[in-house]
Amino acid sequence: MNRVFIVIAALSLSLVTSMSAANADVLWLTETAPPKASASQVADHAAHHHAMHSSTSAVSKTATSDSGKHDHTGMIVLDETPGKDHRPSKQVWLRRGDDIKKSPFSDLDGGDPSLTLIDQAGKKSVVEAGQENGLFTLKAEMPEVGFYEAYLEQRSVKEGRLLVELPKIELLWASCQPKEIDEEAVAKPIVNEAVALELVRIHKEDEGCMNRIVSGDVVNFQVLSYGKPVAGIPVSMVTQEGWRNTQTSDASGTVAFTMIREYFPNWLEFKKYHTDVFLVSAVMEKNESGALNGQSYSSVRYEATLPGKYRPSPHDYRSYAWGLGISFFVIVFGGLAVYLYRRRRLKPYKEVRVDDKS
Amino acid sequence: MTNLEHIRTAVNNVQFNRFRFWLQIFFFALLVYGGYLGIELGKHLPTFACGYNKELRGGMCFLMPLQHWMEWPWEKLFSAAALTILYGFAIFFLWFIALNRGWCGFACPVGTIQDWITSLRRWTGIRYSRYSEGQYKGLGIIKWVLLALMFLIPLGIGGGWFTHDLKSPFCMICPGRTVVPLFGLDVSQWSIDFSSRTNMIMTSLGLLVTGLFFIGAFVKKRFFCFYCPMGALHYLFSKAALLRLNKEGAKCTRCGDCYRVCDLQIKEIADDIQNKNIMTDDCIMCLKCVAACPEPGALKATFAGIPIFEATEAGFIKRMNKGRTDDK
Repeated sequence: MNRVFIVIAALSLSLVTSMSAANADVLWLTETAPPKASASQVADHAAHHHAMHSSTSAVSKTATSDSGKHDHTGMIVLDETPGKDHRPSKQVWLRRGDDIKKSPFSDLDGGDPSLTLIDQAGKKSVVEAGQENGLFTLKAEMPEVGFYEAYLEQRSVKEGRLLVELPKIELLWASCQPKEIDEEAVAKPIVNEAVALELVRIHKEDEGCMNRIVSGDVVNFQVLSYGKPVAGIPVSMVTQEGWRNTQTSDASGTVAFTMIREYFPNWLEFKKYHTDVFLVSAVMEKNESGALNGQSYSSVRYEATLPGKYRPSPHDYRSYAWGLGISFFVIVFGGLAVYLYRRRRLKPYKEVRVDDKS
Repeated sequence: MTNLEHIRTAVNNVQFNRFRFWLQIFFFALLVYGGYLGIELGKHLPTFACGYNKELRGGMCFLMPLQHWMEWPWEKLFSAAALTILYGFAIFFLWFIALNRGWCGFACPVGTIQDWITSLRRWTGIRYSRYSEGQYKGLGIIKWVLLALMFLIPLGIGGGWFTHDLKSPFCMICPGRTVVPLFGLDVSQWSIDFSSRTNMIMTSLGLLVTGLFFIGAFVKKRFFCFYCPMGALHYLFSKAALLRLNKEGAKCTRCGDCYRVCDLQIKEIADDIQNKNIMTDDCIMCLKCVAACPEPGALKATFAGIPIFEATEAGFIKRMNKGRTDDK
C-alpha cells in the first residue's frame, strides 16, 4: 500500500515538475518598464540570458554575455504606477522566465516575429516594435477608451521541434467617465482567430473600465486555438510572490483561478493601489512536421502567455460596519443633542394677570 | 387683456410651492436617473449631480473635475494644458448664467432631498430651528473657507505638499457622495477606508458630515446650503447671470413675509430697500420670497431683464387661501 502511495506521489511530483519545467522559460509581455537606474545592466542581463537561451536553440543569434556585470539573484523592481491605465499610450516590454520577480527583460530571438494589435471592435492594426537600451519594446497608441490586445508571435526550431511562442498582453485605456465607455464592447472578449493558441481572460458582464482584479476574485480564462475552444490543455498561473497553480481546460476551453492574497504589509505601509502581477501560460503540442528557414521539424510546441495585474481586495481595507456605525452614532447622539439644546431654550409658561380695575 | 398679459397673470398667480415641487422632481429625475434614458449633460454642471452616482446620473457636478484639474502637477497646471480648465470653466459659466442660483433652489438633488426631509419634519409636527443673528454671521463664513480649501488642498497635492489620498477633498465630505448614490441602491460610499490614515480620516469625516446632514436638514430648512462651497462659487459669478432677483424698495412695506418664508434666513430681503439686486451669498433663488410678497411688483424674478415672475396682490391672496374652506 505504502509503495503504491509512494509511486503515485512520485508520479504526481514528476508530472508537476515537468509541467513547471515546461513553462519555466516562457516569453511574456509586460507593461512594467525595466529599472532606469540599471538600464545598461538590464540590457547586459538580457543579452546574457538571451545568449543562454539561444545556445539551446537551433537558431542562434550573435550575443555577448558578461555574467560579471549582473546578479542573477537580483529582483526586478516592479514599478506599477497607480493611474497608469488612464493613459492612452502604452509601452510594452518582453521578459523571459516565469519567476516574475527575477525573470530578465529580453530581446527577440530573431526569426520573423509578427506583431498585432486588436481593438475592441476586432480591428487589427500594425504595430512597430523597437529597441530601447538593447531591449525589445513596443509602443502602442490607443485611439479610444477600452481594451486592446497586443500579440507577438515568434517561431524557432529547437532539436527538431518547432517552438511557437505566443506572448500576448491585455492593454487598457481606462476612464472614470462611464459615458465614454462602450460597456458591451468592454465585456466582450477580444479574440484573434489567426493564432494557433491563445489565452483569453473572460471579462465580467459589468466589468467596465474601472474594475480591477483583486485578491479573492475568481478569474476565468479560455484557451482558444484559431478562435475555437480547446479542451485538455494544461494552464498554469504563477503570481508575483511565486504561488503556482495548474489546471486543465474543460470542454469549453475554460479554466478558473481564485486570486490569492499575497500582500501583508503593516497598516501604515498599506497601499490600496499596490499592484501585483500574475502570469498565465498554456502549452499545446502537436505532431506536425515541416521546415522553417531550412530546418526541419517533426513536432510543434505552442506556448501562449498572458500576464495580468491584481490589487488588494477592498475587503482588506474597507469597513461598512464602521461607516454605518459612525453615521448612526452622529445621527443618534447629534439628534439627542439638538433635542436637549432646543428643550433647554424653551421658556417655561408664565401667566401674567393684569387687574384692569387697578 | 392680451394673450401675453393672460400668460403673465397665470404665471404670477401660480400655486408656486406645487410648481416648484414638480420642477424639483423633474430635475431630480433628470440628474439622478437621466443615465437610464441616455441623457448626458456633461461634467460641468453647476449643481450637485454627483459623480459617484456612476451610470445613473444625467450629468456631473463641476466641482469633481475642477478638483481633479487643480491636482495636476504645477508644470502641467501652468502650461497650455490649462486651456482644458478654462474650457471647463467656460462651459460651467454658460450653464450657470442661465439659471443663476436657481440651480440651487430648483435643480440641486441635494437641495431637493433636504426639502423632502423638511416635509417629513413638517408632517411629524416638529417645529423647525433658526440660527441666532450671531450664529448666522459666524457660520456664514464656513462656505468661503470650504471653497478656499477646495482649491488650496488640490493645488498642494499638485505641488507635492499633500498626499494624493487627499484628492477631491470636498467630494469626500460632501453629503451628495453618500446620499445621492443611495437612490441608485449604491451603498458603496458608506464605508470607512482604512488603507491609510488620510483615507480613514477623510471617509470618517464624510460620514460624520452625512450624519450631521440628516439631523441638520430635519431641524433646519436647507441646512447644508448654508455651508455649500458651490453656492459660494455661484455667488462670484452671479452678477453676470441672466436670471435675477430684483426688489423695488419703494413698493416694499417691510411686512417681513419674505424673511419669514426664506429657508436661508436672509434678513436683507426684507430690510434692504436701497438695492435693486438683492442677491446675497446665501440666497438659493428658490423664489419663495416673491411668492409670499403681497406688494405688487415689490419683488420680481427677471430673465435677461424681462420679468418672468413677480409679486402680485391677486397671486398672494390666491396662494394664501390655498386649501381654505369657508363655511357659508
